[in-house]
Amino acid sequence: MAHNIKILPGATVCEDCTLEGDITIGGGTVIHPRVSIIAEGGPIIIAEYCIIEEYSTIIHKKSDKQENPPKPLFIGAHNVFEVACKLESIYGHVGESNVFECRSFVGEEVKVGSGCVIGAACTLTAPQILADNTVIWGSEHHVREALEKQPSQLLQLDFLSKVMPNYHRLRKPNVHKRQPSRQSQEPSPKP
Amino acid sequence: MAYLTQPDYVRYICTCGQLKPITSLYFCRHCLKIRCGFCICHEVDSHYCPNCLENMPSSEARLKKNRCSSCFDCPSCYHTLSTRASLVQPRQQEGAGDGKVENKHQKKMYYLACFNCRWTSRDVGIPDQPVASGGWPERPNPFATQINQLLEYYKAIALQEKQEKIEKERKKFAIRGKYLTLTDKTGLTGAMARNIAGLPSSDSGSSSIIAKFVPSQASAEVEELPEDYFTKEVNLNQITSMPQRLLSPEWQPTDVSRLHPIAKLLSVKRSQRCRECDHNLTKPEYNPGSIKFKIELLAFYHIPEVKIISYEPMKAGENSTVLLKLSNPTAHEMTLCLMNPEDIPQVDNEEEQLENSLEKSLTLDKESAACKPAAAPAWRRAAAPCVRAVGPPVRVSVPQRDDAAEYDDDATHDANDVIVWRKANKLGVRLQVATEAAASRGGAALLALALQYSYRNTVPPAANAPNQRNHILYTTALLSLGNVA
Amino acid sequence: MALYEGIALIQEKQAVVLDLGSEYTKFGFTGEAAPRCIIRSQFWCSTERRFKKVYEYSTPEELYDNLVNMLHLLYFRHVLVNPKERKVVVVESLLTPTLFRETLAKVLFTHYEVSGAVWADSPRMCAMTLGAPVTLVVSLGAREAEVAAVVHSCVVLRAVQAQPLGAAAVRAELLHLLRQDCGPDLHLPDHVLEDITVKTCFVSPRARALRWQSDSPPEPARSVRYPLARLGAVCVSGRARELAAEPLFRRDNELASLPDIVLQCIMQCPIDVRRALAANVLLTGGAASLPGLRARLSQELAHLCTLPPYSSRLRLGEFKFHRAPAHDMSCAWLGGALCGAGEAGGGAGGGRLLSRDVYCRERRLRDWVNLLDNTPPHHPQRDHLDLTL
Repeated sequence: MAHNIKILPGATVCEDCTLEGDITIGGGTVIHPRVSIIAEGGPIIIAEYCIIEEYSTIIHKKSDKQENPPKPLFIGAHNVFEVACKLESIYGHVGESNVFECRSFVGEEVKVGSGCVIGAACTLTAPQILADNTVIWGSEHHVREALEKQPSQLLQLDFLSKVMPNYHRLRKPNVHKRQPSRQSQEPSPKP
Repeated sequence: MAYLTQPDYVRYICTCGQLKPITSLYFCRHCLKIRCGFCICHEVDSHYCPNCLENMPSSEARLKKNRCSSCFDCPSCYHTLSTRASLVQPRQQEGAGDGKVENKHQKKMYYLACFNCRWTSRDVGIPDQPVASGGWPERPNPFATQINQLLEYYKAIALQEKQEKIEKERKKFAIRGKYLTLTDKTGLTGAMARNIAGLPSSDSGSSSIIAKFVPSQASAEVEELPEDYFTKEVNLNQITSMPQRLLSPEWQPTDVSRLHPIAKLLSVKRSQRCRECDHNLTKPEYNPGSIKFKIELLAFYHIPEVKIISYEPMKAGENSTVLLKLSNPTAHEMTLCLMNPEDIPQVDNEEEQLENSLEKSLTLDKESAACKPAAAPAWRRAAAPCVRAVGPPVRVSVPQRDDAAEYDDDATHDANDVIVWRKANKLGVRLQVATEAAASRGGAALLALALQYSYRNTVPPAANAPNQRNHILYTTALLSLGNVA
Repeated sequence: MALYEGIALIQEKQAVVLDLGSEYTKFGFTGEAAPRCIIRSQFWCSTERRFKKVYEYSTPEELYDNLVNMLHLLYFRHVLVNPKERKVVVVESLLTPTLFRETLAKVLFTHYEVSGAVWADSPRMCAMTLGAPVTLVVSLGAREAEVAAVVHSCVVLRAVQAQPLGAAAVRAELLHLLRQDCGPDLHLPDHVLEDITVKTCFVSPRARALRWQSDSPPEPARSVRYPLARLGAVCVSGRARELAAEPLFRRDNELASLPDIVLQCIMQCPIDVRRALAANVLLTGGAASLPGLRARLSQELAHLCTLPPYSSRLRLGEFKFHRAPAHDMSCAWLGGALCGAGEAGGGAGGGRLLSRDVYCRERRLRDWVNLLDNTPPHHPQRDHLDLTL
């Protein structure tokens, strides 16, 4: 698999993580060590200010239904992937300001809107569309609708991007000059 | 032997007949009997909030309906709510517009949020509070006025009834008809009968309340379903579930937007008391943060513990060997004898009973205690032991518990065909057991094992009681030895 | 309210009121407007490692253990008082099995050593919440629908009607309908069915219900996608939502539907209270809160009155419904709380309080079916009874 990893300036990406395939990581995003991001079915684009914590996995699955050339998996800004969560998606798009809590699992045929919270250890496998601001919690998978989007973790991001370099080897941002133009292209692959 | 997640392999028979692992038994040092949660008397000791661990005097707890005033539960997922601070948002300041806001623009406002389901007090439109704890709006009961009226009415009736009774006694109404009167059997009070008959009631004080009382009015109008009910989309997220409704019994909101934070229910520390001698078996420390006890007469500290090390498969009608570990938790040397339950000498209670008989006839407590075991009579209902110890009773002596012995050298093997090993206050014992020939294959192999043990009572005896410190006590344990092969 | 709480503090301690339903237990103090807790009638059984319902018993001993555990939960987890120092008002159905009553009495008096208890029947308690002299109490419980006429605080015992038309019947029908839609191997646990019933089901008016039976069914209400944990979702069709409560109104030759038993109850009452009963109907119980149920019952009653066998025997006029000052589920409880405030809490006790020493002497409860209790004192049979005792 050809590795084509673009890290935009301002992103904090630890070296000790598995990045496979065509991946773009937006500025301000923090990727902890031991994260796996596998773009086997098509490119993955992670927008700005996401936090991806240890042992979380994001896979863009190979699928028969995939168009050619494959549509990228676009993950919106301000998403938080907590420890050991897993996202397998063939839908091209995950909204923004979502929280994937620890050990949650979001299956292939789940379309996630914006401002959703997938509670700790919740397993979503059945095909479904999560409307904006949906909160799922508990072993019984209770659902409710939040009033507003989850507040963004800007303080935490700030802290992480300062502290991480002190303790981890980081991957260097490899996209420099053309950054403004790239960013303007980024939101375009929305479905 | 007791496990958190496994079945209890060794269960002791409590004095009341229940089967319990040793960890859930108590030992009354005054009656020298084993007690369990079923046959002791529980009492509320002190109220505290399980979240903030704040003590609350019981009178205050009663006034606050056993609710903490500063901690709340999420009405949506029942998790504890956290207080979150927010600076007054600039958006609101712009909305407010005037210069007045600028003066205190650094003001902190607090709201409640649930970290589990992300419910916030803003979701249902509860205004943010300027103080971190308390001050949250309280809701009155929707039916309060009606119920108060009813209460007054019934109290007035009860009062009147009482007065009537007194009056009646004064008049010495001895002549009684042969037939039932209306008020005799029916629960209909004289006052109500008078009311029904339209007679003026006998006294005037409470009668005004009774006269003024307006009963509920029935109406022929019943609310129909709204027309759009059949065409409207149902949003499940807007309707509360049954547990959510019942969490606040006074309001039982059906709509998610009517959910309010629920003040945290207090917890209690319980003290436990022996029913027979009224001595405390456990008494917790007052401080809610402490998990220690002032008094804890747990069986674990007083009666010898039996653990199963290993056993041969039990075959019906055959003998097998069981390895047991016995330990002495007390600070005195203990002589232990393993035997069959039927070998326990019938304690001649007669003397004791004679002593108590006078007391028994006087107090109801004893009488009811006497009838209590009928409730949980025979553990044999639950378990029929089909394995028994054979051979001469195993008699061993177990040294006292000694914390320093932990650091001693290796186990001393006084090789013996009964004692396998010895270490500090524990020893391994080999026991020959026989399975009944009639035991069904695959059935549970239960060994009933009676323990005779010497016990030194350290309680200073009462002045008039004979100063007897050493006792021979008996207890019976049921050991599960797998299934009959 | 505040005033009485104050008095209760000085006076004797407030009594507790216990309504041990087959599904939900209501527990709280007398003189208060709502129970302190409404919880499922179940407890954690540590030997069986599951939640066990109180009504799950095969032997009296098992029931005794269940009740001990349940009351322990109520006293020490929810209401936080010492059982010994409080009197108890037990609200119960008139049709409670004798074994259950006696065992509950045994648990209260010997295990928890309460000083006194009042046994109060739920129809009378429901009527007390209204204060109206004549009431027809229709209570839809978890298992049974019971209809009882309360005339001046007396239940007309021979007119009491009961049929297994409670929330359980609605749930069974709902599951049946869902299986028609989603295939026969659909299995839903009871609490999910309850949740679906509570959130989606309703009772349609009579005219619409008739159209469902005809050849041209009406346009069904919107179907609802009900998400299930891990299993995706189940589609609750409009038909299922609407028809789940139909078993309550389904008539057959036995005339055992809900409106039928209401009318039968009225028919068996003395002729001079019948009109008053019809004008004072109180529909209560947990299942009564289904939207549209009250309206439908009213329509069905009005219609049935015109049919034989009722048309020739009943001249009732209009049916009028009361609204109790409590939520449907806790109505009987509230009656108990009001009753207890007058009796047990007031200290006077009255003749209806069964104190502990009396119980210990007699070891039995008064019961309306027992000849010892319902034979008048000078009846010729009375001496005979006393002898056999």
